[in-house]
Amino acid sequence: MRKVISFIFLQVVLSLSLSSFLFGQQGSSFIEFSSGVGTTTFRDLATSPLFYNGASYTFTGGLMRVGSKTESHLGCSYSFGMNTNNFNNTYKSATFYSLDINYYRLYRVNRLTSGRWNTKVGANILNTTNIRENEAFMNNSLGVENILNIMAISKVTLSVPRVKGRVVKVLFFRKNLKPAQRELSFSLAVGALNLNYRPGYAYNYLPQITGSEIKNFSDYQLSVNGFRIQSKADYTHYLFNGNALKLSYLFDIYNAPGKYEPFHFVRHSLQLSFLFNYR
Amino acid sequence: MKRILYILVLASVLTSCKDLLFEKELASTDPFVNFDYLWKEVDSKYAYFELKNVDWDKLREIYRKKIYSRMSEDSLFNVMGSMLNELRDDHTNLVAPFNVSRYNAYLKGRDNFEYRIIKDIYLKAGEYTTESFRHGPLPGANIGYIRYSSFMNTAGEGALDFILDKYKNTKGLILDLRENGGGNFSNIPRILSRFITSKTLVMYNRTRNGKGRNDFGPFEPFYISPSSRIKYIGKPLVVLIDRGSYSATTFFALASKAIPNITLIGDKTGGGGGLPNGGQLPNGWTYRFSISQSYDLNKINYSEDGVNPEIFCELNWWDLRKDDILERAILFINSR
Repeated sequence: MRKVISFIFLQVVLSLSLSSFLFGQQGSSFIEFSSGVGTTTFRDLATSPLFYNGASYTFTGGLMRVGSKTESHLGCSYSFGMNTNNFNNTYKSATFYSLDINYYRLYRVNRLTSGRWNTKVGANILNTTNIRENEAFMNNSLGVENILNIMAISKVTLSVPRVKGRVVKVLFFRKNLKPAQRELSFSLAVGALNLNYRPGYAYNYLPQITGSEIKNFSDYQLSVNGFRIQSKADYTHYLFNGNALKLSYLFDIYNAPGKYEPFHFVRHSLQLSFLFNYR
Repeated sequence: MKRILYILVLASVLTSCKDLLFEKELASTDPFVNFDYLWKEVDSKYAYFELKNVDWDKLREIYRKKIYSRMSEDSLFNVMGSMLNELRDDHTNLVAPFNVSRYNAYLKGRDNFEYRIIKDIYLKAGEYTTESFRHGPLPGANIGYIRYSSFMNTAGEGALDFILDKYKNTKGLILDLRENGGGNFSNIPRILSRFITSKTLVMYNRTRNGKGRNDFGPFEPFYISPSSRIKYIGKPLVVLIDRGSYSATTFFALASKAIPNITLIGDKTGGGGGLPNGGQLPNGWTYRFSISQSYDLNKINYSEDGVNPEIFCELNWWDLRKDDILERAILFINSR
């Protein structure tokens, strides 16, 4: 019953967020596509005391609306990679897939906004589902967890426009740089309510795999504990047609202790985004 | 400029905070650390201390005395592997890059299977290989013989259709699971669903759920529903088992006891009635051990030590012109 209530709660929150996003505010609207590369490190103490490191690749799609007073973003991000541990020459590898769905809404803080600086604060809802597979753990090879965080988020943006055009020469290359709107921003989100849905005491649960009467996740436990911090530094370059290019560095760290043993995760990712202005 | 500096400082602090926010790095090759880690994992999750009358605290005392700080990895492996073998459980293994520890339950009983006898004497007219099954009619007996050597191999629905259709007019079937070391549980209901007409409760399972050695979750019923495809109903099915029948085969044998037209013939199965989970030690080696128990319909737990046949029978190695266990199965079907 608790699982059903949690699921309904999540759906309601996301639906309200979406309707608010679509109908609620003024500013420029963008469709965002991005891809990125980075590194992930995780450790699931229920199965191993060792950290697994590896490269990860991320693809993101989203809708973003940016105004001087408010900003909102609804996005979905898929990451995958291969993480390994070779401590003591005992090479083990784990495939890793992750799906993030997030929505945030920010409001300008007038006291911290002046001139080229704009500071906004708001709330971020972030849901992450991880699927990991490490064959060395035999019946525990499959690790699945869901992590939901309701986060306080702040974003500081510095406008750094190129007011006048200029010419750049590098060796034989010559480039005319036209005036352009550019922004540097840094956002920091800290989990205020951290929920996780993790395996039960023994990690594996026999009724889940005994044949035709499969009860998936029947031993999973919902917990309210842990933390999550996500920070992002963006450089955004607006083009003459209203579209934009964005280069981002994302740092994401969380701890999902669950009821019994914690799951730790860290990601560094460099992402390039294309923002298509549609309104 | 000051604000940019603040942001840069904050960003650099955040990106280096993994070690501050998480518990310390636990990787270690220290023999004591690894011994204690393994002992504790087993202590907190193993399912059969009571049934097997294992004094795990005493075993810690005995084996920890054999650990010393500069011992070789091979020696450490032998000490920890020997400690695990005290659990008398083939679902319990220690896996290092250079060795795997095993209890070898099947060696505690007699060898009761030699497929060459089946092939030379009983299927000499030829055998079918249908996916994971080898089968053929037994000469002059109107009985179908089916060999399923491993639950690791999928029992395909198409293969079962073909086999059960081929032997639909026989007096009975013999399913040979001797030396079937187990594998994928989902093959159990896939096969047994062809021999029942209604949803059948076949066993109970329960899983360790607390640090106390007797802390278990609720008894979870395991039902099998009848297949909607070709079935073999109203005629006897004899399942042949021996000490080499382990894990999923023990579960299969246990479930068979709840189905009236199935009879087990041969030797006791090797056991393995618990679900093994897996994990890793601080030195990178991996392990597994049983974390659940399986019970019959009377909620009696014996399958970890093996499921007894209804008719006990052994192979006579002094006369390899016949398979005594198979002969006993033929006799049983003919007597019905």
